[in-house]
Amino acid sequence: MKIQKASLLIKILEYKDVFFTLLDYVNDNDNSNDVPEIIYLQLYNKYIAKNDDSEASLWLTLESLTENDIFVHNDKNAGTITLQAFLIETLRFIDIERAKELSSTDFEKIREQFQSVWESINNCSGIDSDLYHDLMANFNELLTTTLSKVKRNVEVLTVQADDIATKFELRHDHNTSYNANDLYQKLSSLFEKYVYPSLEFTNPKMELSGYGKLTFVQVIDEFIQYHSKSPKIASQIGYKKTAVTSFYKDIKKVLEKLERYYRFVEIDRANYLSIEKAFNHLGQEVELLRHGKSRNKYLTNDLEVLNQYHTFKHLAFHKSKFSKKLAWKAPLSTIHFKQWFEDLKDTEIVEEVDHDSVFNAPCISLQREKEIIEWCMAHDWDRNVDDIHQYIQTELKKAFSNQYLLTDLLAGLESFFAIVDSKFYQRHPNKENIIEGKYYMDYLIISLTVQEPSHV
Amino acid sequence: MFDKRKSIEIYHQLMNGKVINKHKIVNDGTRAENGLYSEIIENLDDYSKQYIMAGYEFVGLEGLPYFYIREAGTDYISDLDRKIYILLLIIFRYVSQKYSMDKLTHEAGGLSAFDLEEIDNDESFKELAHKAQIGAASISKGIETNLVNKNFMLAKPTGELVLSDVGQAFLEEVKGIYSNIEIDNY
Repeated sequence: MKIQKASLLIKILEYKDVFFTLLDYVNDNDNSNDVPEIIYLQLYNKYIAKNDDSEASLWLTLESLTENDIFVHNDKNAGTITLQAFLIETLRFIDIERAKELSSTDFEKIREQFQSVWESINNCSGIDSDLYHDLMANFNELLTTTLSKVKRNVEVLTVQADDIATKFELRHDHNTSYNANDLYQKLSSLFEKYVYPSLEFTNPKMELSGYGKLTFVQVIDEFIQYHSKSPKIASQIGYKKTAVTSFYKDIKKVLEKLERYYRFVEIDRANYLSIEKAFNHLGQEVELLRHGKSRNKYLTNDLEVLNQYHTFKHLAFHKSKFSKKLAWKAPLSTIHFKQWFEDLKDTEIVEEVDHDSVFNAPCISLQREKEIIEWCMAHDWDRNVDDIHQYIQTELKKAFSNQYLLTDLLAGLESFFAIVDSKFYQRHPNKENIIEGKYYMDYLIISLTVQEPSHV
Repeated sequence: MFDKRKSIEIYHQLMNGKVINKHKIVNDGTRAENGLYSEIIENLDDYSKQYIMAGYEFVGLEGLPYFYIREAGTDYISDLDRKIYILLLIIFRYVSQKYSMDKLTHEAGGLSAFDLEEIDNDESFKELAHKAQIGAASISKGIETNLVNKNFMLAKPTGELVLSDVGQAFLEEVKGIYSNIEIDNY
């Protein structure tokens, strides 16, 4: 059933979301304009057939659209439909976000077309020939198309830059997904494939390497030069050239905007890659432990992948260890020296002496012996003494103070035993010794107990 | 002059293997100077001497934004270190895949309960936690025990977890080490 084209287009635009879905498929699949038939049938059943719009249900069937050249081909074997090019362009025109940027290939095609027209004009017989008029008509159409394409391209790039900006802003919303690596790839691709070619195309000072190759601007300049004797035509071409090249500044602005984000995204991406590498490094160690055996299956503290970090080391729960309070394993410092010095000051230095038995000592002088005996005879002794040797030693030390020697004790003991009757002594088996100066004396303890006379 | 109350708190924190950071999170969710850190800085000689004489190395004297102690002469990694390293690397990986790393450092960000659930459900993270013998019922529990309790992550009043000063220092160290070396995917 043939349908009037205008009415059909209006109906298509009523259901533009269905066709945008087809456009998205085209954009995502190398722009071949081919879409699997099943996609359209599903969309038709879901969004068109279920409506009460009987006109749409009838007009927008697969067969109807194929018959009316909206789908230029329906390949039954491959199960694909091919969309009309103008439908794609119209949809892209309606929705700027779905529009495609001009790539370097697109610009090269345009440049080649201009150069081809220029070479044909340059070789034709003159401005009065029919061929010249045909070529100029072709040239003017090409120039107008290029102007609209470049203008459209600037709009698309601006939208793309805004999209990048929106995605970048998501990094500040910590609950929305933001992948620095993806954004970096998108930015790089936008720069390389679209922004730089656009800049080069519209750059009035651009030159191309390669014999005989002219830039778009150079071709237009040749046209202007060619029409130098027809100033009206030359100026008309000049205006169009200026219109195209004036977009250079707009693209430059887009470039500057993208570059600002690029710097930040580059840092984020570098962080992302570092973390990826750190995690993969650790993952390599884990992979070695996937052996299924019962031993050596856990990550250990001696791994290089862990020991390379120094932010902190050997954190532990110290309270559980009851470790000694003073450990000198730490590197030597002034604290160690001060502590040693303090210890040294508090330590009494005792000279080590080899003691000899007092019985090997030289005999005391008679004069000294006489002094001790006389002192003992005159002294008022206690009646009850637990250890006679110690007792006499103490008393003699008191009497002779610093002149006392252990040999004096021998004289003192001799006098004491002479004075006191031996029946008052009790001998004990406990061995004791006395050290005084260079001599010692071993002895068995003897105590003294003298009964007081009872009073009747 | 040292503050007795703070001194006791510092002792408990350090002896329990915790790190004392320069900043803490206050009630409005922003970072503010940590009073315990300031106390140490103001009486640095006393505190460092106290722990050095008790046989510990007082780490942080070199101007780090955090302090901790370790037994003198033990400059090797402990079981607790291993668990902390690996839990932090798990968190870094999770965040870098989905968000900007600012999420971990900026006060407006932080790991939410949703994020922790996502980490708990990730099979590669589960395997790593198992191999590291984290020992907790779940990774998020391990994060609470080893990172939050030891002050590597700070909890905002709303519950999200952000990196403390020592946590951020570790993040910077990881970025520094791996910025110039190539590692194959595993």
